[in-house]
Amino acid sequence: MTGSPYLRIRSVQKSYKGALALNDIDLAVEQGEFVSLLGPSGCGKSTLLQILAGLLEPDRGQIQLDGADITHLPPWRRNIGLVFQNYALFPHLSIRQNVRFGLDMLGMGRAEAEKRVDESLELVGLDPSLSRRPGELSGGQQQRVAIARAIAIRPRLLLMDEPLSNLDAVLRHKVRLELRELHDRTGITTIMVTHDQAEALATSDRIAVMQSGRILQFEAPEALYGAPATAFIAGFVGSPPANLLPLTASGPDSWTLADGQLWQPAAILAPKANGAEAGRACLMALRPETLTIGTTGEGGLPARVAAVEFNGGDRLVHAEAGGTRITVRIAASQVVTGPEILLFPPPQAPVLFDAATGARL
Amino acid sequence: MTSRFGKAMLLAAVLAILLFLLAPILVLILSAFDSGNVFRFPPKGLSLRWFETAFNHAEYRSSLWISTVLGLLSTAIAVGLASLAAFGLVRGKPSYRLAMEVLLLAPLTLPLVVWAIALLSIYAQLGINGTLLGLILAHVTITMPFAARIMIATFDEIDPNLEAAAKSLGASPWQVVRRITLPLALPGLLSSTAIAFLVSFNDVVVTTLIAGAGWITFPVRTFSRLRTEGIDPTTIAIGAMIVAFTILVIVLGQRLFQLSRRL
Repeated sequence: MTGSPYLRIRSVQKSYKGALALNDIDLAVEQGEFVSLLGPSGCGKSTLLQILAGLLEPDRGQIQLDGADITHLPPWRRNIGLVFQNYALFPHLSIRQNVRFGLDMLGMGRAEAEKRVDESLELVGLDPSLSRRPGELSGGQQQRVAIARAIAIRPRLLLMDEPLSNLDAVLRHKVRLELRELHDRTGITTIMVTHDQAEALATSDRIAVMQSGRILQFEAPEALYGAPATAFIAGFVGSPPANLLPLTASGPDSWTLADGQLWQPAAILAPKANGAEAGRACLMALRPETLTIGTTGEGGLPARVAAVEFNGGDRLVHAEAGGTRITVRIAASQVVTGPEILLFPPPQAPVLFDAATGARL
Repeated sequence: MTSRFGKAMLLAAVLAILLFLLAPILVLILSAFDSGNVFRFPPKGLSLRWFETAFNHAEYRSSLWISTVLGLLSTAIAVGLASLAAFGLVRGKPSYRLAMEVLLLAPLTLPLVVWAIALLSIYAQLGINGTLLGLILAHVTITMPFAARIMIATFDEIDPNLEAAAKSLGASPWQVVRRITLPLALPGLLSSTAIAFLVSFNDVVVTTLIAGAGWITFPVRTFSRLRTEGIDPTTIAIGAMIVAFTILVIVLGQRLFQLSRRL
């Protein structure tokens, strides 16, 4: 048995007005990890973050941090940094006073506190001599101040609730890289709530995908991307996400597509190789960048091109196959001929889900 | 040119409305310096005699004193209670918040006379009619709706994330109130204090019924003398002083506020 994890969430449950917001959440985070809680709005990710911060109390369950039970510890005794989507900078205090707030609460001496403020502002790439009010800064700078304020207290845990959502697209991309760099420099165990899968994939060591108050999968970005545990995750993660092709096993070697068409793929993709008995309705996850386009050959999936999108570095081909919209990513140099094409999945074991439950086959 | 004509019309309209609103103050101030024996307008001579009378008039002095003490005490209680109620309603988000807000504003929906009569009968039962306590309680009832309205709007404007952020930075609930909530609520507190004090200071109806003969406030005294002796120029002079005092407070407040914002 290995040592216990740095942060352990055990069977945490929380309901709001009779509705279950968190249902039996278990999560273990190692020291120094950058973990994202990823999910659509209402999945419970922010509720979980608030429980970690101590702003909400769980109905049931336990939170352990660094070996101690903090489930009922008030937020001001937790030493956990919090960063909000809307920055939540104190408007009546200067930037330096904002960053110093937590240090003043600790009763730190003036000289030491001022030094810590300088360090924290430098860490987030801000000029420590900034003597302005938060309201005079741009959104990106405000978020940097908010992060500096949270890390100035050297928190045991840094919690960020949609920290990039209020920034424009260019800045969001820049700040998300900075978040990861900052994490690597400080080593603070970080938990970020986000609804943006690209953000989670780009920054995190591990991602917990949440839906309807449950954690569906908790894994490294690569594993999440390559082996999604449910159809929901496959259709959510990736830009664009995986295509989910509905098909029903019509025999050992062929599938029936949604429009009744028969598809006889390569053996490795056939029902028999995947343990799908005849009549079993499934969803096959097809990553846009793994599909290849051809005009002739065995086992191709007949499709009709609806639109082609040029994106500079690549092209997205939107095609109709068996009554389902399929997106394929091809090189920009490749030319698509004719509306009638064949789609070839890679010759490897496919990711298949049960159509009814969405679970992996 | 149409635009120039339009601008002239706008200016004329603004001036007309200002004149309409401020004419009474103008009359008050000009007449206060009049030398006549009775109130008249426009004034014909210049003197400070009415200010002198006002300062020497024991009845007015005691009435002003009563009005001020009553105003300060009832305002302090009303603003304090209203702030607590507003904070609870805004932050606690109880399911009955809307119902409570309506109830808090209820005293405004009935004519004051009706309230005064109801209060009179309640206070008679309690035996506090004609006492300072009864008078203060009555003034708290009529000023609290205004204070509550302003404080609810004030707290609604304060982002609860600010309080959450302060807590996460190690601030106890009391430190959050002192360092975050109170400073941000200060403008609302000042304006509800000003409004509550003015409502209390101006009230005639409720005070007349509740106070009896023991506690005659300035507006009640002025009103009763108006009925027995007509317009007393002394009250005009006192009115002018109140206006001057109010302007002084506003200017000082503005200065202090600007100062505190620039710190």
